[in-house]
Amino acid sequence: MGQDDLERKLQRYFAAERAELRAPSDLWDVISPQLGEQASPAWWRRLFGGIPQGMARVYTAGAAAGAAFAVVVVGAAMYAGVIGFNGAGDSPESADTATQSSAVASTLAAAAPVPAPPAATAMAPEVAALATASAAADVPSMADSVPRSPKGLTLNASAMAQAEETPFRTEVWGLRTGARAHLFWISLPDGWRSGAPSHDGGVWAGTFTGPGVTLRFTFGERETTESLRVNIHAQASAMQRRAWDEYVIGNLAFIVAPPEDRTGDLLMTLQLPTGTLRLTGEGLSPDQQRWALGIFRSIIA
Amino acid sequence: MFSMYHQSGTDSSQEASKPVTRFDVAMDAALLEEAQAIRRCQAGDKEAFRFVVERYGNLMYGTAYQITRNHARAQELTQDALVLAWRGINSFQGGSLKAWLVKILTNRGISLSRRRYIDATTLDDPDSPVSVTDESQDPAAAAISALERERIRGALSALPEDQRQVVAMRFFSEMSVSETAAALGVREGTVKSRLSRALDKLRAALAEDLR
Repeated sequence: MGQDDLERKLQRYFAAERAELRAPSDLWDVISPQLGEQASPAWWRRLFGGIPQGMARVYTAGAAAGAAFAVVVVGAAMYAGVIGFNGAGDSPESADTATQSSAVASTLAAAAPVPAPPAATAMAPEVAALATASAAADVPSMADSVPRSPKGLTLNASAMAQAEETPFRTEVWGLRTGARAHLFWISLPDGWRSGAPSHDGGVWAGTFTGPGVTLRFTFGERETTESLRVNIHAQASAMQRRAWDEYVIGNLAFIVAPPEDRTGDLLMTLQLPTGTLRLTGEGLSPDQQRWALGIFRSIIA
Repeated sequence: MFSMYHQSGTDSSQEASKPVTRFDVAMDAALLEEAQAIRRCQAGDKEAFRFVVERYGNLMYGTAYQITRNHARAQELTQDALVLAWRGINSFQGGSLKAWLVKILTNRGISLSRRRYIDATTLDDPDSPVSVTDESQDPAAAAISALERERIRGALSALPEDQRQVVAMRFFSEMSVSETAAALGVREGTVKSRLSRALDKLRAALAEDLR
C-alpha cells in the first residue's frame, strides 16, 4: 500500500468518524453552570504579551532597572525642589515631562556613544522636535543630573537573534508634540536610524531604517478597538497570514505576520491613549521580523 | 505587498504623510465572528462562550474520543477542557482557536490518562461509532466499509499514544503540522517523525490484515 493510498484510507476513516462523533446535545447545559470565574492574565503577560519567555525576562529586568532609575530621578527632583532649584523656571507640568523623558533617556539609552540626532525636516508647528537620546538633553537639565549606568541598559536580543548573543543596544527615539507632551518613545537597535517624520491632518508618518530593512510608521487618531481588530483579523485571514493580539505596555496590540519562518510583510498596530501606532515592514526575513517585533514592543508611551 | 491603511482626516495631497495604500480585502465572516466571540468571552460574557462550544464542541468531543476510545470519558474530557478554556480564555493570544482548544484537551487528556485512562487506550468502547454506523444514511461512512474501519481502528489502537495523538490531530482534527506541534508542545520535526513512524506501522498492520 502506497503512502497516498494509506492517507486516503485514513482520511475516509476519519471523515466517517467525524460524521458520527457528536458531542452530547446538552453539552452547553452541562458545562455552563461550571464556568465560574475566569483567571486574569498574568501581569507579565499583560505587559509583554507574546514575547518569548527569555525576552520577557530581559524586558522585566529592563523595566525593573527603569523603575529604579525613575525612583532616583523623582528623588532628585524632589531634592531639587526642596533646595529651591527649579529647572530654569519650567512649569510643574513641563518638569514632569522632563523627568519622564530624562528617565527614559537615562534608562534606555546606551551609555555607548549616542548617535547624532537625525536631521529634522520642516514639520508642522506643533511638532516641536524629533527627539533622540541625545536630543533628550534639550529637555531641562535634569537628565544631566542623573548618573548614567556605566554600561547603560543593553537589551539582550539573544531570543530574537536565536541564540546569537547580539547586544540590542538602543537609542531612544521619541515623537513629541511639544515641550510639554510626547506621543511615544521607542528603542531602536544599534545602527538603526529614524527618518524625519512628516505630519499632516493629525497623522504623523516616518521611517526607521536598519541594515537592509525599512520600517514605516504612522501615528494618528485613535480608532475603535473593535474596528481595528476586525480589520486586522479579516486582512490576516484573506491574506493567509498569522494574526494575534497581545498587550504591549498594557495596551492592546494587533499583529499580522507571514506564516512562521517565511519572508513576508509585517503589520503591527498598537492602541495608545494618544493615538494608534502602525508599524509596517515589507518583505522582511524571519530574523528581520523578530527585530521589528522587538522594536515595536520596546515602545514606551 | 501590504502597507498602511488609509487614515481618516489625512490630506491626500500631502504625499509625505499619506498612508501608503488602503487594504482592500474581503471579510472572513467566520473568523470575524469568532474573534468577536473571543473578545466577548475575555470580557466575561458567558453567553459568547456558547458560540465557542457550539462551533468546536463536536470537534473536541471527537478528538477526545480518539484519545480515550470511550464515550463517557470523552464526554468528561470535553467538558473539563471547555471549562478550563473558559477560565483561561484571557491567556489566548490569537492564532488558531481550534489548535488552542485541542491543546487544552490534549494536555487534560494526558493529565487524566496518567491517573486512570491508560487502560482505556486499548479498550475500545463497545458503543463505538463502528458498531452504530448506518452506512446507508451516511455518505462519509458509506465511503469506507465497516470491515475496513474495524481494521483501521484496530491498527490505530495498537499505536503508541503519542503517535495516535498525532494521527488523530492531523487526520481527525485536520490540524496542520505547525498547529499539531503547538498543541502538543513539541517541534514540527517531532510531529513529522511521529507521523511518519505511525504511518509506517499502520501500513504494515493493514498490509498484514490483507494477507
